Amino acid sequence: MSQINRLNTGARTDSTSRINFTYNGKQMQGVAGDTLASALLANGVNVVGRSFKYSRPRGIVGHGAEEPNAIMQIGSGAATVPNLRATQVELYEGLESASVNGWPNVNFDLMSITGWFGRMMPPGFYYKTFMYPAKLWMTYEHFIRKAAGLGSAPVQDDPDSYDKLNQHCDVLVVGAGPAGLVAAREAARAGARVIIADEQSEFGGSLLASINSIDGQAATSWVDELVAELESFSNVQTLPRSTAFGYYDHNFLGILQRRTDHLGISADSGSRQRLHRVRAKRVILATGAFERPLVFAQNDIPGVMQASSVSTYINRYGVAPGNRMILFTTNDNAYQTAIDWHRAGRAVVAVVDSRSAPSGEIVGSGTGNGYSSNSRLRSD
Amino acid sequence: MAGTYSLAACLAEGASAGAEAAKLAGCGDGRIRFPEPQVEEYPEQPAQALFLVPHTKATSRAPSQFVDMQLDVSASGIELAVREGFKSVEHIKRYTAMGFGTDQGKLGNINGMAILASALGQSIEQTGTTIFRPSYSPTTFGAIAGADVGALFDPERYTAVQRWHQEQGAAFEDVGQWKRPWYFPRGVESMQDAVSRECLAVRNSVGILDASTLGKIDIQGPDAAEFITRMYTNSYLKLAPGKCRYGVMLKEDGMIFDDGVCACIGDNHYLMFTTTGGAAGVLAWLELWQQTEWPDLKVYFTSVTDHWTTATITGPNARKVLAKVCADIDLANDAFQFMDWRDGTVAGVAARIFRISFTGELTYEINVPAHYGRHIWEALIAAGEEFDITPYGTETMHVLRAEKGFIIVGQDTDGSMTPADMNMDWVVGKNKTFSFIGKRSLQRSDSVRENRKQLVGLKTVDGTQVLPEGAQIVFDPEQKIPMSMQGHVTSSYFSSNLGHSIALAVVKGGHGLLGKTVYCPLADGRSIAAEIVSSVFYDPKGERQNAE
Amino acid sequence: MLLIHCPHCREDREEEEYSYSGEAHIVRPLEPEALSDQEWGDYLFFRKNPKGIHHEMWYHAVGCRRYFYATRNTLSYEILETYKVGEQPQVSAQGAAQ
Ligand SMILES: [Zn+2]
Repeated sequence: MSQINRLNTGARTDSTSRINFTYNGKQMQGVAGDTLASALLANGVNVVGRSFKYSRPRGIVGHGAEEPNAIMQIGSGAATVPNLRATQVELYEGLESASVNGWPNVNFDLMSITGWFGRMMPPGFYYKTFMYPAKLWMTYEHFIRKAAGLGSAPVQDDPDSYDKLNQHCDVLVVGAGPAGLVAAREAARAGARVIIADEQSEFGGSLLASINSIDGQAATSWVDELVAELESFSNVQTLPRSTAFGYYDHNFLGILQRRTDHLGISADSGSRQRLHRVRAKRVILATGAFERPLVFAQNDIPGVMQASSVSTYINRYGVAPGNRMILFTTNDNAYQTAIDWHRAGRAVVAVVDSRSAPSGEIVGSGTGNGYSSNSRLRSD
Repeated sequence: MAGTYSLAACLAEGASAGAEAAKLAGCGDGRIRFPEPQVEEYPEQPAQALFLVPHTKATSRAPSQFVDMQLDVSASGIELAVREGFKSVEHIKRYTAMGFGTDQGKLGNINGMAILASALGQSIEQTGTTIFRPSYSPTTFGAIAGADVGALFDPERYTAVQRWHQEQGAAFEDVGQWKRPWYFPRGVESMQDAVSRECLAVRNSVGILDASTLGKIDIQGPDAAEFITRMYTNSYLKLAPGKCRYGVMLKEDGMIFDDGVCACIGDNHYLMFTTTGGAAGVLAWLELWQQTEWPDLKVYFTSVTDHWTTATITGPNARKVLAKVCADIDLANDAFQFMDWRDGTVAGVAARIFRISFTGELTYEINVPAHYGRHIWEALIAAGEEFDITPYGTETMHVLRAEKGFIIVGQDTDGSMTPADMNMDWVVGKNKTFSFIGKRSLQRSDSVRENRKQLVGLKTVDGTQVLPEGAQIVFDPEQKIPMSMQGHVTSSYFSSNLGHSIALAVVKGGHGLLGKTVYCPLADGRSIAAEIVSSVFYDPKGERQNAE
Repeated sequence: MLLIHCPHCREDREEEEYSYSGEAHIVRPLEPEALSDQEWGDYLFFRKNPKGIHHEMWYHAVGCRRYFYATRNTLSYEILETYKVGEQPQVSAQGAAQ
């Protein structure tokens, strides 16, 4: 399989590089800067798993922590890790990945053919269907677990080492997107001891996929300058690849820093992951937002993707996840995705706006950007 | 900063939040220092709040409209749950499994809650959200454990004699964080063989135990005796220097909490021994009462557990062994009596020797500063060689004390036992003026109830059978399940000195049931018959510890 | 994990250093023997367990080993004050409601 969906326009990927990896045993290639998800999409992989109850084929819908479908088993042997989101796994040479959902495999799924399983599982199936006869519960559970494919934990001792760091700071900024970056800069300039953490591989958040300009330069280069500026402050600690996973009492936060996961190796010295236990005087949550998906009939078929994710794959990773697009939106923001799609040389079939009279400037810019569409949702 | 979408507004809010947070943390004046970044973007018109795209068919008959992709929760499933009577968002979550997946409903839950609100005919605000809990995304066990694995999982405490024990091939037992020798097998000896040999050695000649782990609290101050007397069931007001007394400590509910010997070191100076596991709790307990209830009492506590090595030599030849290494104490029975303690020199080291006994034999507990621990230990081993002095561990200690019916707090008691339940009324001072901790509770109707579980001995009809500790006790083994349980076995061993098994148990109204046959039904269907006997199996008159 | 100010050490320290020791300001009756079983039982077993403002006792077990009192909101876990044994709280449920 080749990278049929690869563009050479990714702001954060190097389309001339080659990184070999395997997916469900198949050899594939991605590029430097890819996540596993962007590499799979570049290779035209549309189905990445099967759903829990109905065993329906599912594709990648998001580009970050929100991804519900692309749940992967990474690595093998003692160092294997289950249940990682492909959207957050940085690609490295030799990475081994496998879908955790799907039995016997994602493309030929016994359960969806027999089809009986989902019908047995209405809401409350935990409480209704399997309550009786109680003796069968063990059997059911075994089957559900196998069917759901929750991944498998390694059975050998963990070869990696881990450590913890207790930290104190004046201002902890969670999220290094546009808001978090400028917040950290202001706090640092005021003399505060600042920690800024972000779960992504590099700082910038949504700006990494933005084609906006800030202060007359590309958003991504503005980010680079600002990050360099932050790192020049002696009172600022920057923590990329670090997820603030819990905000506890009295401004106590747990931050999981993944130090070597992206290299696919155990740490030569120090730890694979580090747990920062941070007590902050003040906390700024600059986490950004998830795009809220639209709930419509058959909205789970592979190929349905969040608009912001489509733009991210095109602009940040240089991947156009498909050929022909119908954009369905309730807001102005998503029109940018149609513009991005068109610029990627792909066809915008239609833009469906649920609003009766969308009038924003970007809506009207469609023709100028080379596509036109004015379909509207039929209201019942 | 929720609900701000335009890039320019995000940048502006971020800058002011950063400056403000720094100010609140005591840095700067809250003023923004950097010029606002200039952004070109389209102005946005309002979005439509659309949570469920309508279908020509009713939701229940339309193709699935998925809310939670990972767990296949659809809009029709949420509506069905409402039809079945669910109203609370937390119940709906659990009934439909919405948000249960590894993605924790990051995409689905907001739509699901809005669809629920619509199905309930109420606003989203009225419906509310489920509580989102850490972790935000899956976190590895490795990171949570950190370096606290393997040897660093839990600190281990060793006595000063630890290395000697290891050199002798001792098997160790965890007692709290302490590593204590459990028994000292010789060659290929089994545990039972080793324990039998150790038990016989103590009763027939002399054994030596590392008792350093016992909790030790140094108590000083003009009100020390008064304070100690308030904490124990018996009185220490007239305890003279050089004397020891065994005491039981109760919680305010009248239940046994700890026990041990307390020695009067000098005027206003006492040394309190606690159980190994109870040391920290007892110290906190003493400080609680002194600091919060009786701050007027002048008394000070210091934990000195680790300061001392305690070598206990016990058995009929204990005095002869001690005499070989201690010249400056008159060891004659009437000069250094049972429950006395003396300062002296043992093998050249200043020592405190306590003549107290947990085995029922003539016993000296020799305390020296911990650094001299191994020196003293080896001196005693050398001195005892001609008597075949036998090192023994906690298992033999347990067997020997059980032969004597001495309780172990936390094994024979479980926080619901009064001194009377343990047949230890003798330790409760009847004439104490101050209402010591727990005293009032001993008169509560439940404390004087006649069918309380009471400590008894059990002698199996077949003396080779050793009852399992924790076994339930019934009066009629033929009754239907569930049986009427009358008590349980708290301690059980094979006694090589007596040639049969022994057990301690608590049985309802047990003190009035001597001679009755009871049964312990086992999981395998068998049932072991045993007779209720006195809890003192050996030397019932207690003569051996006073031996000449 | 709470951050607790020890009024003796006069420092904010992590909850790990402390032990919780139950409701504060429970005075031991001076003459326990004069009480009925019910009165003694009330002293022994019954606690307020409020939702909201609670005066409670903490022990700086791995610090200064002193007991002290804290006024804590059991709903928000906010600690409104800590004070020494023998002192009275400045914040009360009534005061907070005003
Ligand atoms: Zn303190």
